[in-house]
Amino acid sequence: MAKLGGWTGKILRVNLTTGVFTYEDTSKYKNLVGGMGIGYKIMFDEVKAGTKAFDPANKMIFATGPLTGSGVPCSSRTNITSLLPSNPYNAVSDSHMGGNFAAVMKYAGYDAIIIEGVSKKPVYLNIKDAKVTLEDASFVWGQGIYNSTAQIASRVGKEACIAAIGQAGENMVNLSVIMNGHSHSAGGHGGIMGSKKLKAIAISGTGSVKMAGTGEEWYNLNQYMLKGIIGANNQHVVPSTPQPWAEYNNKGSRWTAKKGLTWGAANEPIETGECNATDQNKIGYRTMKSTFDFGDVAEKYTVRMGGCQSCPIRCHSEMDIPNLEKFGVSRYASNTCMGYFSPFGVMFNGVKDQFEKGDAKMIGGTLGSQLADDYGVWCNYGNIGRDLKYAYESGTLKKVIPAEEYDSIPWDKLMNGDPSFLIDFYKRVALKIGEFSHMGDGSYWLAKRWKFGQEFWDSHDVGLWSPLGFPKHHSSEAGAQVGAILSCMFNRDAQSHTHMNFIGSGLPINVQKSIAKEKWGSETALDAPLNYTPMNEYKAKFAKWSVIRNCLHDSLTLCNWMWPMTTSPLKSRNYRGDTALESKFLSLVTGEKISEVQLDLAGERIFTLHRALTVKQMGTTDMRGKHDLMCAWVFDMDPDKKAFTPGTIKMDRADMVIALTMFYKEMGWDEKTGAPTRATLERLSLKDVADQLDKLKLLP
Amino acid sequence: MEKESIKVVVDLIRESSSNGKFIKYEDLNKEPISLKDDDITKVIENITLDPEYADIVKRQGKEHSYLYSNKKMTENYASIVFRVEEKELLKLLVETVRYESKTYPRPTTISLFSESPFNFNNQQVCDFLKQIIEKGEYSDILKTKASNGSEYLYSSKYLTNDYAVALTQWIEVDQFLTP
Repeated sequence: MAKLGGWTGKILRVNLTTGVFTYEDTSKYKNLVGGMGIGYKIMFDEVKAGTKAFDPANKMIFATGPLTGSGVPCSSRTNITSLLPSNPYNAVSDSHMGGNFAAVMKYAGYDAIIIEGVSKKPVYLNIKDAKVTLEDASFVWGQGIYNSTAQIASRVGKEACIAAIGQAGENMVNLSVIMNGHSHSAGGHGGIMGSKKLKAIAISGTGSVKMAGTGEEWYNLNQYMLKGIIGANNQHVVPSTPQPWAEYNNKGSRWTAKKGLTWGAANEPIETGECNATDQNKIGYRTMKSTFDFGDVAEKYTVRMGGCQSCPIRCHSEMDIPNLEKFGVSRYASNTCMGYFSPFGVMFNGVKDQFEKGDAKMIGGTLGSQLADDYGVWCNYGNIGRDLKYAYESGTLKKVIPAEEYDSIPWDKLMNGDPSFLIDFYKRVALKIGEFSHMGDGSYWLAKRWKFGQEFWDSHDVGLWSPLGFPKHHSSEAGAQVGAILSCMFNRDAQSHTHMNFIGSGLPINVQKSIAKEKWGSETALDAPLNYTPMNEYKAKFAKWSVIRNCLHDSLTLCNWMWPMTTSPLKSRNYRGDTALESKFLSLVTGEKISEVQLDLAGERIFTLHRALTVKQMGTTDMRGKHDLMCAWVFDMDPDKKAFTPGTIKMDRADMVIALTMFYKEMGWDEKTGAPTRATLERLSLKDVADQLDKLKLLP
Repeated sequence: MEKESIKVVVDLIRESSSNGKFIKYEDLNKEPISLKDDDITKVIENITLDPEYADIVKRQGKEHSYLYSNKKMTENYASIVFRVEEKELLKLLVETVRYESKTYPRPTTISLFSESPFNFNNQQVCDFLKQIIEKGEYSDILKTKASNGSEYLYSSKYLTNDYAVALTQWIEVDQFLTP
């Protein structure tokens, strides 16, 4: 395997119970590519059905892929696979983090790290190339991620990349994260590290990723992508304001650079200017995310945009807000998207402007993100705030929390828009203080414990997509049945951006439809925003393609918030991107030619393996009836409107039954149950998986 | 006419286009080009005939003639700049709203018109909105408002009211619930 470029060829297995390290060849996972593919296979083969997330028998796999660390744009993603404690079945899920961790893992010589067993005492894993040790972590156990990372770095060297948990993970809070760098977190699995008393993984790597192609070939392919195909954050390909070089524009675009817009807190403010699509030296200026997230007030507090290794996009805003120190946190904040929005969502009654007009969202978001990140609290894609709102407004909190504890919670701050409420909120959740701390259980377990009424599940405002307890995330609001299908497929919110990046590209609908026709067979694969039509086979193809690419990206690894390159900002390309770029880069890196179709087949294999694993863990083939479920609001919202009329995302029950059937057919799964068939598993070289499911009587 | 002089003019047109501006014929009388009227005519004739300068486009207004490069400025953008130069601002607003309602489709945020190259001030926008109500020919241009107070315009020729209202709310508020 090591003779091929891309992979290192080595997987490290760490047994925390025995303290023994062993090594395996990555080659047995080659047809599963890497990342998520490796993770799911190990979970399928080695973790028995019925195992719970915090059981010693559970495992965690930190995995990269052949493109990680190779210099492909947007390729430093770590995929973490394990059981998910917030899921009612503790079914498998994958979480991902950006930053530098993945690339450094490759430079240290590892494609994946398997964590198994339980340490007797708190430890951290220290990896310096081939040297691997388990070190005492008692000096940081009980501390937040920021200080723990700094303390560990002071011992292992500042060049190390450290992924750590905070108090939330240590206390096995279901909603907890693992984080590397200052803001790159993976949601849902922090408690598993806590259950194994593994505080952190510190990696230093002095190696490199071997590449089969020549430097010139590599340069040319990179230039091809950077000069005319890559857009801005989320692969938005039009600017947010009219600009001379651009035919189109879209207010919702993350290509926010424009004349007069500056990184205002830089040492000498830096103007983003208008970033022409062919100027690859200004790609990093295209997305001014701070003002996109917080409004104009954020401009003067923006130092720069930051992000992950090998990513030109830079989607994390790095802010210097001196007034944050008044809350007892650092003046320096960095994050993006839900990292900021979720804490602001916890403040469900709004936040008042704190120090100047219009700063409410910025202060609430940057304060909350630091608290959440340091304690290591996850948010279930923002639903923790909506859970709180429901629990408060329904009177549930007053019923279930003992009076003394209830009175100790600063409700006046919450109601008066004082974001210092968040200081108390995250502390209680992370340190498991009192009954209130069950807010960290996740929506499903919370609803069960506090006996939420059916209206909790049926409410559009609460926004839960599935009765399994995860929220909408580019669901029916993103591409009608396509988003809806994708949202049913995983064991948490789908984290799938393939379809959303295309839908949100900013191009007019007719341009998008013409691309849809080329890719999935008909213009009818894509509906106009909020103007949906009944299900058809082309939408099923679009959905299949979307989820396969998502799985591929989490295996290669590439950032699915950018890839695939379905569109381009260039009129000269007729706005067509190049969806064969993944296979082109992979061929160049590995030296083994692989076509777009062949690589998509690998993605199909990985996703079907996930499905098989879910069947195994749930102990049923009835995916349609037990897993691929949607909450009632999806169909009952907008009661004065009919589905498939302009102005509503309301879906139709009968139509979604057809949608799932069409999707199952596309995937080669049983059309009645949605379970993978033996024929499909064998077609995808997963005969061993079919055999095991057969033994368990879990084939349809 | 020297080739070098022509190139200087073309470079100026292209650079101005990159910056979102037309060159008017009379701009070529001024520094740094400083051509006489006869020479301007010769230069433009030469530019028109030279395939190397096929991107230079002439556009005739009511009183002025304009030059821009379609390599550096798209036709859509040029159409906006033309209306601004011709001071046909109400017409521009209406055309923009109708274009967006038809093409994307989406309602148009009123804040768009404060951006370059529109650069309308608040008073102008208020005046235009009054005129739209008064003039029957613009009766398809209607207003919506998102829950955060942001105002939008749409054309009922292309969007129903329900659709425009829902899109307005989506653009301003709902899409940020799932970033």
